[in-house]
Amino acid sequence: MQLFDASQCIQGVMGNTTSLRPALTWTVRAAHCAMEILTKQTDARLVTLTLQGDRDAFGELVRRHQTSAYNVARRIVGDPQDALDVTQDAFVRAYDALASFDRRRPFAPWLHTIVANLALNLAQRRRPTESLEHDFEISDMTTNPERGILAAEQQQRVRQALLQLPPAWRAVVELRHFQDMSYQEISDTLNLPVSDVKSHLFRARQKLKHLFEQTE
Amino acid sequence: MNHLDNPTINLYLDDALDAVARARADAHLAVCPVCAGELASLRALTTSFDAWQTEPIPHDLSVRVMQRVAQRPAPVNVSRWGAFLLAAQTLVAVGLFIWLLPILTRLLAQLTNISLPSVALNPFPDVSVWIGPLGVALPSFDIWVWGLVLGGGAVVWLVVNRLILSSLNRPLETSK
Repeated sequence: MQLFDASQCIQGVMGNTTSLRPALTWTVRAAHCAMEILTKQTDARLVTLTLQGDRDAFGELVRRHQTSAYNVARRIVGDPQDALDVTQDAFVRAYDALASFDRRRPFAPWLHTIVANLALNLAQRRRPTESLEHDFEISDMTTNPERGILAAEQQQRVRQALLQLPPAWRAVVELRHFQDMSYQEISDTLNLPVSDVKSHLFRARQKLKHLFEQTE
Repeated sequence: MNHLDNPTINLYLDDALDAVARARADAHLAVCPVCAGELASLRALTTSFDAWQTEPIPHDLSVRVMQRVAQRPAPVNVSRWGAFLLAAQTLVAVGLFIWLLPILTRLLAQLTNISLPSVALNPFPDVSVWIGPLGVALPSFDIWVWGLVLGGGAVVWLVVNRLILSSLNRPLETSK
């Protein structure tokens, strides 16, 4: 199926080729087609291809999930550069542990648990104030500037408040509210007793409520 | 009136109360504006997290990740079936080693005319007793028979290994 797709794809682009260097053009186009075919594969198929030795398939998984993984790390560690480092490390860990991934389950939550753990480890090593010093980008200012400013202020407020929580509380909030995990799943991910998960979460909410009331 | 405590309100928010406790909390929330207000403020808090929009990643990590991945060994997919086969194969290998060692050392001593200490000729006396007649009968084969047996065994071994390895990376049903 994949070979058939590839030959169809290459035939399609070769029909329009008028270059004087057909071999080079063919190679470039073939590589482009191979990439295009990978982008159409499901995550589970890409994992299978990676396990069969196709590293490009893992590259496609990275391109597909790097933004969501980066955002998980960003919400826990705060600093953009740290978040990039954590994301990169998480993908390498994921590659090493790929054989243990159950392909009947979605890939993103599995990856996010690795990111969350690495981010938590890093955040716990950092001083709590370090992560508060970074400015965040203000998005969507062009379409409706006034609304954009309000949204950005609200976003900034939420971020500042979340980043004032202890890292373990932040990680629990991330997994509960952004990854929609149950108490048991969070407990398994962070290797914490369920009672600690509940305690962190409830106290985090209490503190956030308090922080929001202060800024209103 | 006894208000709902903080953990109960949080568990209610997360839909983590059992049916009885939830019904009790529902009944209380219907008549208690304080607890209803507390629950509403927690709901507003969790809704406010939506304000944290997804940020674009500052730069593509795929090239850097692939460079690091290229330096690492390829991941090996050991399925449960594959792990069982490998464990069984290891057990058989250890068993064969224990069984064959006294026979092979005896043959080696005969071939090289070196007198080995008794412990080398019979390092596993209990096993030798257990395998009994077969262990006694086999050393009577000459070296060519043994070569054939061991060579054939090695070929079978390699074929089985190849089959196990090819079964390890078999594709599963795909689902995104």
